[in-house]
Amino acid sequence: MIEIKNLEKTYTRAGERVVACRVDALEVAAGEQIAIVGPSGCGKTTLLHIVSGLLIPDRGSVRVDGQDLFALSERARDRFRAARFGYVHQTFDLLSGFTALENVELAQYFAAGRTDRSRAREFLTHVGLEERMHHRPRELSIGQQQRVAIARALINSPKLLLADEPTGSQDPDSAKRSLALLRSLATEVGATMLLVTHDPASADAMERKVDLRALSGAAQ
Amino acid sequence: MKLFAMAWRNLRQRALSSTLTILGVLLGTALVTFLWLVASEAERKYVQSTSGFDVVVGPNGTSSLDLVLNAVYLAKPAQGVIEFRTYRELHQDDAKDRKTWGRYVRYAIPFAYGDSFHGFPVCATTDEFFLKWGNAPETVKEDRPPELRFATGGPFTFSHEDYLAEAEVQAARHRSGDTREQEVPPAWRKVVLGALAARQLGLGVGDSIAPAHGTGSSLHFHEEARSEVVGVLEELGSPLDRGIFVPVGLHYRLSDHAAIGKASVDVTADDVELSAVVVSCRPGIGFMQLRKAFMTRTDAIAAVPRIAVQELFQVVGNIAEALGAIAWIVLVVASLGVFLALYNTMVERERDIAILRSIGARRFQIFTITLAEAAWIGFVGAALGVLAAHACVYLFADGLAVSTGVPIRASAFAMREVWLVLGVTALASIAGLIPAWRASSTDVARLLSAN
Repeated sequence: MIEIKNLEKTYTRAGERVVACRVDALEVAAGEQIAIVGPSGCGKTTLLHIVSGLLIPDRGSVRVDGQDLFALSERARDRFRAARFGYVHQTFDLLSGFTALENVELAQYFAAGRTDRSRAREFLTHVGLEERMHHRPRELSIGQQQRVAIARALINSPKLLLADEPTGSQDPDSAKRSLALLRSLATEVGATMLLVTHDPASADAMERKVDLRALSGAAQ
Repeated sequence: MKLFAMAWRNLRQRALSSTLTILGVLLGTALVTFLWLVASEAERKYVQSTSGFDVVVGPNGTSSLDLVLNAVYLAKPAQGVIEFRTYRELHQDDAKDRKTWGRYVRYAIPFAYGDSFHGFPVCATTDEFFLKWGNAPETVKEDRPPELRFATGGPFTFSHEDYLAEAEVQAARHRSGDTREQEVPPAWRKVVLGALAARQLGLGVGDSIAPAHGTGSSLHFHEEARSEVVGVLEELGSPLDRGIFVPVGLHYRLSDHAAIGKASVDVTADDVELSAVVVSCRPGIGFMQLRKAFMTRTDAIAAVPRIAVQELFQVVGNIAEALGAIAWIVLVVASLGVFLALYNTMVERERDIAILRSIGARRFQIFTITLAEAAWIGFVGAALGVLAAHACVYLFADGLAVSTGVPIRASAFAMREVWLVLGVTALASIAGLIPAWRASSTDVARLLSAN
């Protein structure tokens, strides 16, 4: 499902070239659920942005579902992302001016150019938010916001679910429940899941755990 | 959810900033619309108001424009007097008599001005004004003056013959040197009000008024001539709506009013003075013949209101254009406000943009959403501005009618207002181009990494 080769992303700080992320090789099978671990600043989020096509690497290739992401034009990559990827951020990042239902519908709109309200309702009901669909993010608890973000990420039945520290701001019990929900829904829609985390418990709960530092010959 | 709906939602989310920006556009558009409305309606009404006033004969030494502003628009005091003989010469109705003006003149109506009542001009005339005005034959299709119809009551009675008799009385009085106060017959103490005058003064049939002479501290009310309102005219949409019409005989009987200005006692009825004669001509070149004839005369001038008004609007038009230019500058400044409002909120909306991009929004969609916000601001501001201008004209219609001399219709929507709304929307969209470009260029990865 995912095939990364000789990937490197650098940036310049105070005149010096700093390696933000380096991966010599990584393969993730379709339907697999893996955790990318490593200390803060080792490039986990950078890797996620590259795999999602939002950030262009300096070199290397990333193939997702057989498609070389960076061989696509930016517009085609955007369409590819909208149709096949789901994304859950650490702070859930819901749009504050829109209701829970509308936040989910937006993901439908950008993926397919239209919305399917009944499916969006169904999905929110599935994550236990049938009573909160018309609430705005500020009217929802942290846990509820996260469930909206999960519904938004999975509403288009993506082939790849990218999750960036999705339980980072929760207590251990809530984190465990949220991760379990995320995993079960990913399995339900048949999505491969790439989780970035520095939480050992979350990483241990996944099928496979990969330390980013071990993926390259050079130290991060 | 469509991109324009999302843009609208974004604006609602920043309600205060959006409202203030819309307000800026609204004010600019309202100013442009208001100027257009007043200028175009005033011009239209000024030209329309000349109907029935083919020629105005007034005192020599006056400019045509002054004479027209006085006699047609009741907007200026009379600048002098003409003699009764001129009126008598013009008051001919025998179309076959080639020796008189009868072959050109349909009717000639005398007017004497000088008094007012709470700012509304008192026009002394004969009842021919009510009987002949607007009663043009059906063969006259164009420029027919509006028919004078009474909303309530009816005209006073003071005929041309009464006027001839009164002129004789005044001449005899002058010859005898009689300076005593004159009795005003009860039949002459009758007043007809124009629609606007009646409405603004809150008067109706059965009420009474005392005309006033002079202005400011020298204002003197003619209590000796307190007169009863016998009729109120229907709205004409012309300056006549401001008029207070009294029998011309009453005018000569008031204290301070000298019917004859000459010191000599060797006078006749023809020496009695009046302010102007309004002439309606038969179809054809009559009005030009009349105008030409009076060019060489020393007793009076003949002005053609339609020509004088065109000259007036050549001058006023320049002022309107200057005001219009200022209004357009206001609109450009308002568009700059749209630019600043969008650009300054870019930092706070960057995060939202990054989220939209991460869930699949393309750059051009982000560009469109931001541009649509600018367009919404322009469209809503402009549409409300046009409505606000019309509402202002509606609310201040009477005040504007008093100050401009003609009634302005609030309902006079013009096609160019639609173009104005579209133009302002386009202008605001142009102002939104740079913010939209900046929004679409947002570095998504940097923002999403800043958790």
